[in-house]
Amino acid sequence: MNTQASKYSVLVIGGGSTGAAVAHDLALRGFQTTLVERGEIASGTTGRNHCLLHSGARYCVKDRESAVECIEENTILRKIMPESMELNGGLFVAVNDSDMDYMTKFIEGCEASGIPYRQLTGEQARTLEPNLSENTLGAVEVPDGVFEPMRLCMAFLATAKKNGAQVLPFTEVQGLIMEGNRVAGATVWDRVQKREYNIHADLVVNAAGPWAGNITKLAGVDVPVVPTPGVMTSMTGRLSQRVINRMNVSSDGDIIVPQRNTSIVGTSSYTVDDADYIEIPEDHVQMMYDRGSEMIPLIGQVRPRGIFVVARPLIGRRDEGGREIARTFEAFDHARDDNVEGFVTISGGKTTTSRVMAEVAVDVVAAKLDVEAPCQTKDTVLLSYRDYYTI
Amino acid sequence: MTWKVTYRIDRYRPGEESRTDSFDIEIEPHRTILDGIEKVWALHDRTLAFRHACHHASCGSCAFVTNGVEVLPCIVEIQDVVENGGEIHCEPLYHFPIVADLVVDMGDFFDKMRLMEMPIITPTDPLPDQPPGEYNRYENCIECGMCMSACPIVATNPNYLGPAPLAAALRTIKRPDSSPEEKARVWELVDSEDGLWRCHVAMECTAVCPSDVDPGGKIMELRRMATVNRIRSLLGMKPKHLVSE
Amino acid sequence: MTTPPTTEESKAYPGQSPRPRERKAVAWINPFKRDASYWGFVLNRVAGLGLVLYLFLHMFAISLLLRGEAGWDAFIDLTTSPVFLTLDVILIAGILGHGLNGLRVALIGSGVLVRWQRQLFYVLMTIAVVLLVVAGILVFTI
Repeated sequence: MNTQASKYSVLVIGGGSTGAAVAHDLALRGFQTTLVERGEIASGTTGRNHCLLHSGARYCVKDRESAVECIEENTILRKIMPESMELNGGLFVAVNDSDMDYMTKFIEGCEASGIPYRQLTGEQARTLEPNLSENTLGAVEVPDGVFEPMRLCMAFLATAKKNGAQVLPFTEVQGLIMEGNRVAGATVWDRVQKREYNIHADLVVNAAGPWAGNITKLAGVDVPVVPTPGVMTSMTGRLSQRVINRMNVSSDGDIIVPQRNTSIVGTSSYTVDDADYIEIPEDHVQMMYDRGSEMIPLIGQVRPRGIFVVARPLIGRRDEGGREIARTFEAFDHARDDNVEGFVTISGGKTTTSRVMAEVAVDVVAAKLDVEAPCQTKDTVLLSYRDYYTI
Repeated sequence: MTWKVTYRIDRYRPGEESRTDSFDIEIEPHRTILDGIEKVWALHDRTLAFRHACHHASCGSCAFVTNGVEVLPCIVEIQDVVENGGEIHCEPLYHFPIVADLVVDMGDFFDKMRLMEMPIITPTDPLPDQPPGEYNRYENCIECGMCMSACPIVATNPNYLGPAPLAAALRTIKRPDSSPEEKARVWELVDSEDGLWRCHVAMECTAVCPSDVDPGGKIMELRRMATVNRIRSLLGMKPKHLVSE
Repeated sequence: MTTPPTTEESKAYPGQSPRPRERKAVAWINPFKRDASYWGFVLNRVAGLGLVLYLFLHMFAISLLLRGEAGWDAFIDLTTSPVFLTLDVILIAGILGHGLNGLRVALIGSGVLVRWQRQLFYVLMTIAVVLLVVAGILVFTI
């Protein structure tokens, strides 16, 4: 029991994969942890993600840092969440000459990033995955996986609750309590009992994903987080056992993720101002069917099961299409950047890297509070998600 | 092309009288019931409380009752339940304690599911024409609670284990990697008065399940095993299923 | 059959005390269900209750024998009236429905023919209707 850490209370805003991992890390290090989420856990970005446990190969050519991060976290998540993911690997397939030309760079990238891979001919790939297009010219096998985001969040939170954290869904932050230029907590509204009350904390961590800017505004601060939605379509039928990716520069509709008896095609990318309600653009949906069928022709023939869109938090300047902005994460210590104490924002990233995002954020928290508390989340096996409901 | 649809949602807050609120929205008919609920929340009433996460029938959190029948609103299109100008009556799942509006407390249900200790990942067969290999995937059951809401026995008996836990028990019992102690423990739980014998074969659970679990069929499978064992022991033969001692 | 309200706190929603649902004695009836097997279950329950009620009526009727010949003859007159014969047909409907569906439940419940449970329901109910029509004709003509 870390008696140093237990003197301090930390409030985490946001119950997605970032917030859940942060709450777990805080509680494990001994801080008094409270997490507030305005809806149900994972009802924001994390719930509607692509469910892809990245091997990192997608980023190995253009963003090696991201790729290394992914393969490391991929290995760690397999260890701390055993028997919680479909782990059948993934294929990057080439269906035309442009894709095949990319293969050399791709393999170099895998080698340089430390991603285990296996090169395959088109015929070998189609033997392994019979539903692949006849146009498959070659493929590379990598250790992709499939997870369920809500259950991932609940596994983190169950463990956090076991270590003393308090998790409050349906609790919305209305304002931040300011003492001079220090954030000393938040005013929250319990949506169920319809009552407003204050939560005091020594430090507030903003993990609100694409809504991070809304929270920082409450302290008069800006963060360069751009809500960037993308459409995904879950198709009826388990059309592959492995994750199927397109072996080319990252673009729209180039990943097909199997999950139970469905195949999820995604995704697209565009920016919006308000992440609360996003209409689903029909042309993007059609694009998913079209692009998906280039790799697995059956995609264009089976019925869709679920079509969804949600905003992702991308760090950077507003850009056309948002595709060029890197999918990295960043921790903002607002004391350093904006002269507001007691306030840290952790945003960007993806669920595959949620654990390391939490490690970075909580390292900042521990440093700010001058507490000696090393991170142990790499080796701590999480409780079952079912325990979230019963602890 | 949009339809005008009226959502009539049962509201509840502790200390207040339950009531039903009506919201009119314009929405494309091929959008899902959950898309409509989100629109009601975003544009009409931010106090509406509801659960949702994945929007593609894998997390099981959004289940509620629409026009008297349990659905997963994230995969059911509006045009499949109403016409243009029609009404969608939304109630929280039956038989679960209500937290607020459409949010119910799943604690008791997950207590029962935990008893069965069904691992969520199962070994799976290769696809047609696929070479043999060690593949795995999520169990079909998404733990949405719709079967519990639909079951007429759960309606009147709070101690009945229920379709989903019993189906999970069968999965645990049939897995090649479950230990004999685990199988025996689970078997003892389900071969009881409030376990598999309490079912009256209404098969509503199988009818509403969004994930092809067929809990009714699984309960009958458990019964077959229990009946065969009992008959064999009556005839002085050794039990065929689940030899524990 | 109702559970008393408790103020047990919810573990997934700390600070909230969810309201338990009432368990009404007739909670097992839901008119919006469409599945054939569900209506088989309802039929069995309703017919079963009806047959229990009939049992008591029948014992009461037989006890009229104790009142001697005059009382018994009056009762026999009543039993041949059209209203009574109609009730007899309803009784036979209950026996056939409950019996044949019960046969199905016994088979399915032992794990036999589970995959065809819906088809079995339709087949057996068709047989019940046919037998009912025959019985009805016999009741009114004999």
